[in-house]
Amino acid sequence: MSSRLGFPLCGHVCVMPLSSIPFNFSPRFSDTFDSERVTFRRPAKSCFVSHHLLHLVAHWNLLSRGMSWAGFDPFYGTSLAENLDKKLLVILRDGRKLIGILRSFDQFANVVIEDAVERIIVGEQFCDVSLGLYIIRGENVVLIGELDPAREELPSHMQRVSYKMIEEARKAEREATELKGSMRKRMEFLDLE
Amino acid sequence: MLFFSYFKELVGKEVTVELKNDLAIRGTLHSVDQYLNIKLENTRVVDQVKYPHMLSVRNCFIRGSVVRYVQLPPDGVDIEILHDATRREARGS
Repeated sequence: MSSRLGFPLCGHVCVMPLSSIPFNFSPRFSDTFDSERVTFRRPAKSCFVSHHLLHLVAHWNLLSRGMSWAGFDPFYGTSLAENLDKKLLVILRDGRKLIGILRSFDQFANVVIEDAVERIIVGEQFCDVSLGLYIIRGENVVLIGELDPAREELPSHMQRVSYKMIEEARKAEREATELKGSMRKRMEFLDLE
Repeated sequence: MLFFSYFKELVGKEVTVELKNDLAIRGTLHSVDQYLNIKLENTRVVDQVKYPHMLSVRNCFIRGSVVRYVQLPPDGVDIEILHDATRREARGS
């Protein structure tokens, strides 16, 4: 029994047997990328034989561009689908580290994280703040890392502290860097060199 | 499209991705997409002490927009092929 793949396409549901897609079918690329050793020639449209696939070819570009997020790229893709329902670390552009379970994502890397926890780390201390269900806009996402359950999430010498303590530590660190910055400005003014 | 194709040739190679937030991650290139988002496997952070939260992360997805550099192995680049592909692309557009 051949496996069938159903997916929404421009409002219509198209069903096509996976086994009927030729192995080297890849209409996205009509350019070539040659090398002396290996020739990569991607046939544009001519390699499929079954007529019932013809109507899908025109839409294939749309598909592969718009839907690779769903993991529906039988040949290639960077998909977050493999990470669904896994505990992940999300690093944001502002430096925040959120840990939670990936429930949803899209092509912009917008993600839905369930039971999100912000891990605040200052020096050797850390604190976890519970946040709940989060939708993160993709433009703020830097990295999504899969946390290996077999390994320690943090080095063992780090100590967990209360929110109050970590906030004080963060404030102290901020003041130290500000002081360093202002000292430097004063030194530059003196022009000692 | 050119660099997308180029990165696809590099899948399986060890690369170091330096991000705009100065985080540098070394790993095996697992996959890349049209936005040049990168998926790395077997990752290790270059300065592990500075980024303790990354200790247990072995696979990661990096959004293309935050990449500053992708450092490649010296033998991973065939400059002539890249030149030819670039010329072809320039001619086409």
